[in-house]
Amino acid sequence: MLALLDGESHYAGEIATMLREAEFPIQDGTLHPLLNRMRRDGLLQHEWQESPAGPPRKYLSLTTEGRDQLIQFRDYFRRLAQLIEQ
Amino acid sequence: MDFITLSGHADPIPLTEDAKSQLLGYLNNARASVENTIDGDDLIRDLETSIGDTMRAGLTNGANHIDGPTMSKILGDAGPLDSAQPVQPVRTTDLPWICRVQQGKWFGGLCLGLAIRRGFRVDWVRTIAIFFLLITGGLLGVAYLIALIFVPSMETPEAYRTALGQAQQRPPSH
Repeated sequence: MLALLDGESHYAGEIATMLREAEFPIQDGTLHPLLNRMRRDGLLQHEWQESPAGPPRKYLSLTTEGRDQLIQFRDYFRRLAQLIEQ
Repeated sequence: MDFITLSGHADPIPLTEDAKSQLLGYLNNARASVENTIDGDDLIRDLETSIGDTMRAGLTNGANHIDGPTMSKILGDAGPLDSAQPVQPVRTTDLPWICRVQQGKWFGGLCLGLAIRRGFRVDWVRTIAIFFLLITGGLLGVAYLIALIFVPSMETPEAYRTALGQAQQRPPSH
């Protein structure tokens, strides 16, 4: 989830579509509570923006803390992958 | 034919009566499940917007209103609202001898809970736990996993400390 928002901001609908395209279908009923929770934990921030079509959207992006956590996770994952390969 | 106005959508969306009652029922359930939570209202708004998006997408595909079966599918895809409520605080009068702590945990939060309860340093508790894990050849790991099932959970160290403080002020319940 953090990786999807790395360097760009999206609104929840786009995140759901991207996850679906990555063959990781997620239900709205699960996605929104998760995003809200991440926002409460200080990993995400949001900004209302007019969208080209339709209503203004809540665009989510990473906070510094979210970015740090992503970097940590990637590091950890790389080490884990190396460990398994060895 | 009926209309519904959803949060985040300025124009009412046309739908059949059956579809409307399904949607209202779904939203009522969702609302009930997040009642009294910090960001419950936010959640419902987000959910409404996103369901509205899906309905609009259905309308742009040629249909001029949302009918019952389409609505069932949309709501089925949205799934029940995972209320993600904070872990229920344990009643202080029957506080067990150990709790797991979610915030700042490494794995299950047992070491952190133990450290808070007994006033130990958490890094020492973890070191000793890992030491015993190695000595017992993983047996402690099995015990840990079993404990995860039975030991109740606290959201933050502060919540646990507060609960402990209150429990000490109160006489035991039995």
